[in-house]
Amino acid sequence: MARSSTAKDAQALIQSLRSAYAATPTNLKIIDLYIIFAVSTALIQVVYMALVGSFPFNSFLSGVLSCVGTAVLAVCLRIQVNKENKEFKDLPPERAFADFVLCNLVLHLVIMNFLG
Amino acid sequence: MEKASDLMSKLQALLSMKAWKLKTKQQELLIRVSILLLVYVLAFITRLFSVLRYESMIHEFDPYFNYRTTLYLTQNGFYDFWNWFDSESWYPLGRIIGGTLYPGLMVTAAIIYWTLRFLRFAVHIREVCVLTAPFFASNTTLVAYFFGKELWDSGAGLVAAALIAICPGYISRSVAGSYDNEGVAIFALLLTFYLFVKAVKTGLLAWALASAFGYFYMVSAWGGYVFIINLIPLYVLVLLVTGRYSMRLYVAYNCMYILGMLLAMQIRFVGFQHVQSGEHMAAMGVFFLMQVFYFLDWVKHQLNDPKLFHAFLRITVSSAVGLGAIALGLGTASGYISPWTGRFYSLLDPTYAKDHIPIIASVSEHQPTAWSSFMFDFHILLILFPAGLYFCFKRLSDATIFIVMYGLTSMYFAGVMVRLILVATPAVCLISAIAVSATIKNLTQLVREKPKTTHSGSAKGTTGTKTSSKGSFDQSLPFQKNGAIALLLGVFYLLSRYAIHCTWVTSEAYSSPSIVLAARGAHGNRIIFDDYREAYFWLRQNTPPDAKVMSWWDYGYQITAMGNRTVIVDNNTWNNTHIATVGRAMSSYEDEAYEIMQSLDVDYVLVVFGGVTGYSSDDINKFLWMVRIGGGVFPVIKEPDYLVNGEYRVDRGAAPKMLNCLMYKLSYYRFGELTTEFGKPPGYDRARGVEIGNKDVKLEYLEEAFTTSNWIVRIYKVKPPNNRW
Repeated sequence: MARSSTAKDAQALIQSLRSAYAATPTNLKIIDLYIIFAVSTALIQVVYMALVGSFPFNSFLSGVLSCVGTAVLAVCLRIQVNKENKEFKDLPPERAFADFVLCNLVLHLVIMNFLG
Repeated sequence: MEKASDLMSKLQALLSMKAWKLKTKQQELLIRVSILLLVYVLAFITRLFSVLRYESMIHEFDPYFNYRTTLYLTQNGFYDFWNWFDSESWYPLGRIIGGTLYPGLMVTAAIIYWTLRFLRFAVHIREVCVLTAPFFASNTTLVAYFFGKELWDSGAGLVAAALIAICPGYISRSVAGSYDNEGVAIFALLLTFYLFVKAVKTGLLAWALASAFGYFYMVSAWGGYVFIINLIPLYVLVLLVTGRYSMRLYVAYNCMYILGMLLAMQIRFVGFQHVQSGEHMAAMGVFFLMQVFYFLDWVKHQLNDPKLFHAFLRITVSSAVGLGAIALGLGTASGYISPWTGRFYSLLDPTYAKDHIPIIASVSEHQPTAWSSFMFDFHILLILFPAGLYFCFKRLSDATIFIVMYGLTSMYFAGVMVRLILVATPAVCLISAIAVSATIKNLTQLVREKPKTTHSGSAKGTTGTKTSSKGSFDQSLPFQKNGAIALLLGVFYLLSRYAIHCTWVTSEAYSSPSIVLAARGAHGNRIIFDDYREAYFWLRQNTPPDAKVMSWWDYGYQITAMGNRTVIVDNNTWNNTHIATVGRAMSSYEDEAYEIMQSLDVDYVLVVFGGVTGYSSDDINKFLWMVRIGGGVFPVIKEPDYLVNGEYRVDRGAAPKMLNCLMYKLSYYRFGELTTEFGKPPGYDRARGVEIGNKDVKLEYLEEAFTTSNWIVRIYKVKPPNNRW
């Protein structure tokens, strides 16, 4: 009984989520796709690490952190350009994007240094 | 006559400020900038007492290591410095310098040096090193100003800058010549916090990036960065719990954490600690928590249906908590996440070090703080601090919550360890500045107000600090103005007392280099004991270049830096066993010690002895720590052997093992022949105020090589083994 109700809940949940998500603007959807890509890359690397081992630990770390960092920065960008967030009303999207690029630049320069 | 009057009127017109008159805002800006400039200069010059009293030299122990490495960096370049294997310390092990130090300070000093050189200022690297700490203290005042401005208003910023410029708690570690990590680290610490608060306030990635760089600088400069990486997650957690979570916080924390962590990993000494050691796990946990929180928030926003959301919440939260717990448990059990280090434990539990790690407990600056030293280092700030907390709570914002948390946690740590007063100082100054600024602002408003207007609004603010005068304010409105003036005078009196106290403390207590000692003679004249440098110079000139010197670890850095000779142990204290071996040698009988010294290839033994001058921090007074540290590794050494009824004494009633151990013999060799004070028998130890117990010290395996003019440093040569027949 409890099991079926949870399943039903989950089904309803997914359905309503999907319908709600359909209304998201396209540029946010693109960012979402980018985030999903980054997170799945990170997950693949973690699985690979679990299978093969983490020997050049700095390489593994820089690989995963590159993905995680990219994802987090993209989430930040998404927050900032989302028109529904009142906190960032007077932040132009150009500025947000410039910050995003700057942070990514630093992130990947450091990653390159760390890759070994 | 007319001409003159014409000129006069013209001059008057010129002077009547019409031509010069600035708008109020411009005037304010001018005043603010000039005050800041004065504070900047003041912070620098108040730290120059030591240079004026003594000379431009490096102080104490650790700075000598920093100086030596900086010298190496400027002479050999960055790559050699980074890959430096130092064979002159920790003989026979050596030390990988590049991988075991925080390079921020040395690189900073070297950059300043190269810049000055590039600008054709022919400075010596020593001058740069001596003045690095005051220079960074000046910069700290600027950061304090901006931080105060961010927290409260520009007035509070100015007061904070002025307070921190002369606060003894900070001066103690940043006088000219104390070329130590803390000097630049406090600047970096405050800068990181300021930039982070700014990032939280604006929610911009650029500020978060800047704070990550501040964090990087802090990591490169001082091990105290652990405080940042724990305080910021704690702050985030508090904001989450109190329902102050915002998108700005998400942006600021995550960007700062990821980039800061990555940048910190570039410092080899820190390496992978951010993902491996238990001290850094809080930050990572909060990072994941933020992701979960954000995701939940997003889903909630999308769903717009509380019932569905609750179902969702139940599933995600339980699975997330379960996963996190499993990961942490697995990591700890498999040894992947290292447990907390001893230093960290000793912070959380002040009695930990005493029971478990004598080498930490033996350092005087790791002792719990006495009330008097709080008063000494903070003076009126100690009283203003709670008042400032009141004001912060009255106008609660993300920024003030941060400073309150910083203040409270750092005050706790300052109570645990004397040296951490330094970390608390910026917070105490900022919070006190808020109290002072808010009080003065309210009072001056009262004074300037027309008597007819109502006072209820402005009187409220003053009640915080001056609760005693609250009643008289509300009831007797006619005297309000006078009361306000009196209170203002009181505040200025307090602040001037603070300034006088700070200057006095700086000049009397914190400006002695401790490598050169000063005392007052019988006629009030100043006597300088320059024995340390005399001894190190002797070592440099008279011993073979590959000679190995054994001394207690305190003097290791100085011997390598000034004497240029190899030492067995030094202040790095990374290898407890090695130090314990030296402690064992010092506390054994001479023949046993000789074997140990032979095994370590020791050529010279250096002891510090204050019996002639009354210098109390000498090796005999440190001796029990040698016994404890030695005994901690080698159970043959037992502390009770050196005590009589639990009492430590060196006179006739001392324990027999004490009277014949190597340290005692080396310290008191030939001392029995010397009359140190008029009217006392020969062999009277002035540091301990007793006549020594063993006046006829005979050395069999060592011979006296050099004793400085005031007997403070004594050097002995280890004889080669006897011929076998």
